[in-house]
Amino acid sequence: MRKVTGLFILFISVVLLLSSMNQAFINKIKFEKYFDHLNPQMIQENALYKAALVHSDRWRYGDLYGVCYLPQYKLELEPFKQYGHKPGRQNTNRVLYIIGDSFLADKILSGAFNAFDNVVFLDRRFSFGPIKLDSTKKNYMVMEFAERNLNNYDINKTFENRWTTDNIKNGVNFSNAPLPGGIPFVPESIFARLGRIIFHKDLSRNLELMLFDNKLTTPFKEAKASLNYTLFDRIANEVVISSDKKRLLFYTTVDTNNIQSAFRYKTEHALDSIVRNLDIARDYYRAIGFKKVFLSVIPNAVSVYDDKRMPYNHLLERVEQKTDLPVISLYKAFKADKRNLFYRSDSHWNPQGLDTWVNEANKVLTANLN
Amino acid sequence: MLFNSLLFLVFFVIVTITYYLLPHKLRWLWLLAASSYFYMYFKPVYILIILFTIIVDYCAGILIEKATGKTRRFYLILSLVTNIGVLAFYKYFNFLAANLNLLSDTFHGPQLPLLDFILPIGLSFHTFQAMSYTIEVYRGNQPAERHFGLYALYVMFYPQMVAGPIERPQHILPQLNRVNNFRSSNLITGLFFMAMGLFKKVVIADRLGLYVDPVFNNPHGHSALELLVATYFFAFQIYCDFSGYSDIAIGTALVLGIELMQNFNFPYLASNVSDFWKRWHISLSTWFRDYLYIPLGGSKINFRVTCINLLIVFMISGLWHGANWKYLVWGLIHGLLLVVYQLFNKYNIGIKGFTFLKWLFTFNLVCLAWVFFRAGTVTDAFYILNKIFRGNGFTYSASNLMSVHELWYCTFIIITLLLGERYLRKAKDYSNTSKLLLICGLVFVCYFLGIFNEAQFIYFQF
Repeated sequence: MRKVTGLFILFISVVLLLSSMNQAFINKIKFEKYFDHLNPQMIQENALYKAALVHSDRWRYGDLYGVCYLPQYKLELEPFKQYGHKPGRQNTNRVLYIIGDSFLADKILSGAFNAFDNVVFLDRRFSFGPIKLDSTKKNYMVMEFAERNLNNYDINKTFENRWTTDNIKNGVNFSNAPLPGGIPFVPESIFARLGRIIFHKDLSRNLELMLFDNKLTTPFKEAKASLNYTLFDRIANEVVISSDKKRLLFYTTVDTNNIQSAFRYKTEHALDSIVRNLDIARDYYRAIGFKKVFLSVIPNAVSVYDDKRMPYNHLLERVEQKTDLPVISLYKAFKADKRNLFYRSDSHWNPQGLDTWVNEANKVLTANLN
Repeated sequence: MLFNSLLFLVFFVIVTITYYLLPHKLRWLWLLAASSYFYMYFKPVYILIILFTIIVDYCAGILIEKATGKTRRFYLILSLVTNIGVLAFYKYFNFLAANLNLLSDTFHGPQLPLLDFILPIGLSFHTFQAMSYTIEVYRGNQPAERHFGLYALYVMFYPQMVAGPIERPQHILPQLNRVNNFRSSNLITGLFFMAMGLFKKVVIADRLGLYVDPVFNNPHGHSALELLVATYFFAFQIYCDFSGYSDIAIGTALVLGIELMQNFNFPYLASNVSDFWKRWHISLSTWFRDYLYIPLGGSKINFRVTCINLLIVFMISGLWHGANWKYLVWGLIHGLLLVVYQLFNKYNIGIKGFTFLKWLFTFNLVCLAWVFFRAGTVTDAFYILNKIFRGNGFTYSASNLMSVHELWYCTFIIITLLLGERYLRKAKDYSNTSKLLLICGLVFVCYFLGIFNEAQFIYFQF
């Protein structure tokens, strides 16, 4: 009996270890556990983890809740609306490109702007580009930044692959040109591959994902979080509670030790550097065929709802004043809006926040088409 | 691989069950493979350094045993030079080069290049364990091991490979060689030690670290009171971190039927500094005693030589911890304290009674020395001590690091540890059912009050 039990535990453990080494399998679990609430239509009915009742609560109630598991912030996330064109509108032959981040990722925006036939979203968090434009269309660009990500913006440190200056000077047909700056592919040796798999630094995290990142463990996580918060005022490092206790805030936007903090003093020199990089980006996009480039900075939740907790650096407004790019300005609109525009348990805006942005963007874009 | 990680839990289960399922003749191979994986998880290529020293010491052991007279001594020196050479290159080269460069800079001389690599984890531990093998063979206390795999396993046995206890060949090799049958009492006692170690690490050490680390990293930004609290907290952080590691190592080995030596014996209950060193990191202090202090003459020659020997041993012991002046000063302080203790003994200046005051005095002296150990530099350490002793700024404004009631909780748990660890340790003699209940209780507390931020053990860097 003892041997059978031992063999059974051994079998389970080996399966767990081997599964944690299989990054493709882990990515599949991650996708099905985390992202199902965002785009339900993308989840297959027979999904492995749907059947096994082990969906994670990590993202379902907001990314900040999923880090700290404080039960008082376990709030349902309202779904985003899917924007569609007004019926009967005519083609405009215009395309809007948005280089943005998690605020606009996974949103269905193709019909949000009546002045444009289509919207192409490029996620700056991942590698993309070089952008190839359809030269038969009029192409416009919005550079969208979350306020925290605008800090130390450096065009050369983005994940975007760009055309070289020579390509641009020589008037290369960007649609057919080879990828610029391509590094020759060096196949990985069998030892390197094996080493990467069996000594992968995320094995513990992968095991945690498989074993404990599911609904069944949520009550325990909440109990632990409540206990530590009640006894010691301690919550997960990545999260800060707002002064009015009504919402969770992303710590990087608050902690003055962090470069992304809204309360970290910004020198004029730092602002000049950001503006200079925005200008370089604008010139580049114009050079490869964009008709106009816009800037849109989405304020941090802390800048809108808790800007009195420490001296606010007003980065967003100061950059908007300094740059000569056309700006889709949001800060004043967000401050003036009496509705809640951010999820209280997530670092992002809610459907009302997005809607406000779409309205403001429509106004600015329509006014600046020529 | 960290003991306080999920990967280790799965690894431990697989290694242990497979170990008992395999026939005895294959077990060494399995443990060696598992130990290699355990070590290589930090940085695979560093296994080559260990392999190199293992081959040298294995051959040296056999050659020493066969040889006589000066040749025998030559092989020992060859082995020691190789081990110390590897240690010196990886651990002390940059320190030496940086200090020589500083000196050379004064005279506008040439600069030595600094090497860019990460220190192999636990290098000082397994090098010292390897050296104790060749020394014991040379002394005739240990026959040379002919089985290369077993010798490699002696150096690489995963529970104690990266942070001790530093074992002796006479104690470990016979245990690795014998048939270890599965015993449920070993399993439960081993798990009990592991749970106790995990408790010390995640419930005490890592929580204290939330306060101690930022304060010591920025001493100028903190008041005297905050620095004083950080100093006392560090004393318990390092104790719980290191003795927690040792407990997990002892428990892990015990599950495999192998008994490791005790590394800590309630060091903060010591009534003098000499007593402290009989209780703190016992495997290292006995190593220095047996292989350095006694060969230098120990206390047998005269009082002056005894004092010099003590200072040498403790300064080297300080440097063993790291290539930094602060460790040297820390060792020097302990050496000087022991010299003073020897003086008291010599002139029979003994104080009878006052046990509590003696304990309190010793504990504070040890804490004072810890400031040098933990501070970023010697200058920082002097700054911290100066600020504490001048006593200005006895206010607490570090609530962003730790709230006042969390400070009180930490103090409470430290006192509980001081008073209760003795009783907890006795629990190893309880019935299996009682131990199982205690394990469940400890795991429960670890989960709800533990800090799981994947913090490394402090002694890994040594």
